Amino acid sequence: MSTIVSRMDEDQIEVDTGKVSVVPGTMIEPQCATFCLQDEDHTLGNALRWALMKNSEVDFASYSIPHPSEARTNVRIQTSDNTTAADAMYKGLDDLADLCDHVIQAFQVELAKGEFEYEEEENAF
Amino acid sequence: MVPEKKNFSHNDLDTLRSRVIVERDRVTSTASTDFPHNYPGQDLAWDFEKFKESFKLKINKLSKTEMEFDMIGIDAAVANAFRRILIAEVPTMAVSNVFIMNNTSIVVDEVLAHRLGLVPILADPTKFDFKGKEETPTDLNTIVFKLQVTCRRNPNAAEGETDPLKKYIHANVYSGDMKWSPQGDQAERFKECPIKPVFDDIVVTKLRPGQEVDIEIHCEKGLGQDHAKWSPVATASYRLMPEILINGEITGEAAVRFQKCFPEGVVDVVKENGVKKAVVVNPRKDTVSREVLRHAEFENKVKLTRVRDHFIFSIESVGAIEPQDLFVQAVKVLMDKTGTVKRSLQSTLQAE
Repeated sequence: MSTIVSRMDEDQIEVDTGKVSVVPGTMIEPQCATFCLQDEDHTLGNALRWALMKNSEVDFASYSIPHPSEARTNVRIQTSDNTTAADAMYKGLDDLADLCDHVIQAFQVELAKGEFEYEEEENAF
Repeated sequence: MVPEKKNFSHNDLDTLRSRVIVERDRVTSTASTDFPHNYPGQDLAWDFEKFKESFKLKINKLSKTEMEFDMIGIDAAVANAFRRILIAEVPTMAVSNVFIMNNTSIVVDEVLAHRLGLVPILADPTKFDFKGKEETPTDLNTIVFKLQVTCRRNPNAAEGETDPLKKYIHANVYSGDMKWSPQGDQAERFKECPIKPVFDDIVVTKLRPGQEVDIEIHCEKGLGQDHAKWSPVATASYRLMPEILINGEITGEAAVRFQKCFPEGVVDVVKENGVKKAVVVNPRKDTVSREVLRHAEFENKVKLTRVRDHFIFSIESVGAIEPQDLFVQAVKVLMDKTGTVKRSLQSTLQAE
């Protein structure tokens, strides 16, 4: 299924890649849901869980890997009435992205400063 | 009567919150609890400005293959995500398909192909596309090497020479014998840094006179997740910053014994008013072997902990990508993951 979505950065056409789906029956109200992420593991799962827990509107956040042979991660979110599970998910992902962006900037600032031990290898490539 | 406590207690909240406690036979207080609603009166919710203030990144060592840097103020979940991505999800180029025209060496075909796969290739993976299983090789997704070596007797060798490297020509086939065969416009694109194996001196196979290898090698872009040959790091690891707190003072000969419990440079014995005293000068060098906790005289006098949000990161690159570029790429991969998930979630929910 394709939906035309207008976004600032990307093409106008949006295609559903099947990366994220809602586990059927878990979204009985907008405040709680279990999202299933395809081809993800602890790398994103744990980091996302931490970002979600940092949200004061989130009552419950956890991730699980239903079976180690399948690359699939379930993320369960339950929020207070002030927001929805989807919004909490967006916030968690945005916060993680902000964190990554800042880490890159801080790293490049440090690199430019050059206040470290730089070794020249004898057999440099 | 209350029995005497073996270790002096770590019950104060600040220690439990900010330190991982290392005891003689176990490690406790490992989980991070800095989440909202856990501590009354404290708002520990995510605040980007607060994070930017408290986050520190300090590079200690850098070379063409290794980098050591500190990250303070980040959580273990994210630091571990960076480590996992460095090992498994940063793309590189590696030998993928080996076409063997002739192999009369002592090493059997499949073992030879396996060894070639593990040879690191010095090529910038960002300049290449991934090649799908069914796609044809093009100059945008494949690098071609030719390995053609024949072993002959060396006519100039001395009589009774026993060293095969002197007695024969090309007795050893090295990774340096892999000759890059530029396809399409690759010669133009890689004029400044021609593509070659990172190391020239990896022994791939051994030959004797009359034996030869005639092989065409195709390299593709891949991830460490798929096969370890595509991992850009020898390894990437981190450890938490150790902390050694002395309860009271350790003086005299006990101070010298205390110093011996730690690696060199961690503890210094200084003379204060004519009395020797043990002072912790460089806990960073400590390997946390807990040797000091094995001695009854020091058990209650020292507190070994690790600072939970201070990560000492070490990245050892194989050589294809420099460690500083590697780290930036790894963080970008995590950022891209969040973007992909967000867009997919938006489209899934809009469809409902």
